Amino acid sequence: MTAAAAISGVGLVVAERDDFSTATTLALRAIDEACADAGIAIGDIDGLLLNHNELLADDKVTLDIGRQGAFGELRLLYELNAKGTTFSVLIDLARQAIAAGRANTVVVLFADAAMRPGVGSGAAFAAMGGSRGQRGLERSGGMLGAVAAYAFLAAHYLQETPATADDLRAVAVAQREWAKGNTFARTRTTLTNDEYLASPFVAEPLRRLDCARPVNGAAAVIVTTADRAGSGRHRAVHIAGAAQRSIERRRHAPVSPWEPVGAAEAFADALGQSGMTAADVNVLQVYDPFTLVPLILLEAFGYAERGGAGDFVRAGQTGPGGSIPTNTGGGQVSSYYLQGVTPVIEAITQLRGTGGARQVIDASVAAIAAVGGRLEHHSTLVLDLEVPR
Amino acid sequence: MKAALEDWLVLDAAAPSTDEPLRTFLDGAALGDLRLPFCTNGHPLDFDQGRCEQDGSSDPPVWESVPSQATVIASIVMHRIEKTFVKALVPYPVIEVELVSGHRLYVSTDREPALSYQTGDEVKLTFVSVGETRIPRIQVEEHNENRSGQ
Repeated sequence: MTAAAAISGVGLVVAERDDFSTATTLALRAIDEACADAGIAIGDIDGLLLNHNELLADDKVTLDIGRQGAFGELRLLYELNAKGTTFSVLIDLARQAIAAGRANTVVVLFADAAMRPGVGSGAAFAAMGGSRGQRGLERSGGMLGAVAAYAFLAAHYLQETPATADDLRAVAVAQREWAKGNTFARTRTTLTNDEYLASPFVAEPLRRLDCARPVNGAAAVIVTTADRAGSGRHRAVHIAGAAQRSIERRRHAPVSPWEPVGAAEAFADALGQSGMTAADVNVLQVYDPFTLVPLILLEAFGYAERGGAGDFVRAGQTGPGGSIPTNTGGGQVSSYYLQGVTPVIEAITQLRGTGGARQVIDASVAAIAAVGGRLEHHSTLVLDLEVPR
Repeated sequence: MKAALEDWLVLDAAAPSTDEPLRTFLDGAALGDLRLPFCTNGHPLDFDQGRCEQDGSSDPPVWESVPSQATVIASIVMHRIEKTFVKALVPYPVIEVELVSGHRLYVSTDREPALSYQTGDEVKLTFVSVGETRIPRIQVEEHNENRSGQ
């Protein structure tokens, strides 16, 4: 892969609990932050790629953002949906567009304003999937929201591997330690075992503290040519590799495996594009809507044996000083949930060296593993401080 | 045909849409008949599947009545009661079952169960009324009679 494009600016808005600004308002704030961070003006932007957000029924950013944000003439403007992998996929598409000369400075944008006054996050997400088709039938069976689907994945994981429910707790505790250093994290105190075990079940075997912390917010990442990328406040972060896999998750025999099939291949492909392997990764950022996901991805990527990720986490391997620091901002479980944004922003933060109390020393290569749907969709994005080999 | 029980678990707001791809399934359920889709060569299909992954056939699916016996594959317990959709006041099970036909469904029970469901349990499906539809549920009495107890 050539060093065609790099990340030069980031804007992240995590709304306060009493801030119910619209998704568009949050998005424009994030874009302004990203431009300031990159040292550019709005007029320098010639591409805008929107992360489709299917979780929201009403308030969402649309292609009207071009007009609402007074972007003038854009050479690229589209919206894309690849489930939870979308944000990573869009960053790669921005890189490709820049490499092809179709744009110079592209904003990748996500916004979410699912939380409304008086409505809990569980209720906000329970209607996901709607009333039609398979998901509609599931909903009539009391299977509400993503938590139920991931509880089934967790049930399979605990049933079919040597893993135990304590492995879920280990992830929650480990990621909370990282979250203590993240000013954007919703909770920044040590998570004790008792506190975890006192956390009520939402969909057994998943407890409330196994679940992501949805917030309203927005993020904008500016991707530009490698030579332009160094003019901002921070070092350029190069896009070194990207790959995707999607599989069928059939609901009939012969049954589809519940495992994250395709995740390992996407991971290896993305690293291989720059001649790297898992051993070259300094920090791993995983899309973790539930504590289950880091466990099964650590195993898929070869960092731990099947059913052995819990022991790996308990041994401190994903924590500070561990062999593969993982979800170093606390992840979606302990910091904030903005879909695919959360792991991407943390990876950039670490490579820039701006992680503060949670900074991983000498972090130079980050892998971002995103998942979508019910683990049918996988992507890996590799970021590198050095120009890709 | 027996009248279906009024559901103990979910509110009418949780009723599935009677539009495609559930129309034939729900028409059958209204008559107490479990009808599921197959390809023209008899392989089970998902509700919205247009091409059989086993033989590549893409003719419209054949909807056939299938036996209501099923095997428990996995189960969870929903503790969060979402008042928009759920009227039960207690945690309730959701169970993944595989029918004899090879189709897999996520279902709950036709009444509050006294026992938990374990992988490998043999169960039988029945139907309950939710809004204008009838939907499948595990028949609790049948389940209890066939088990040695947990």
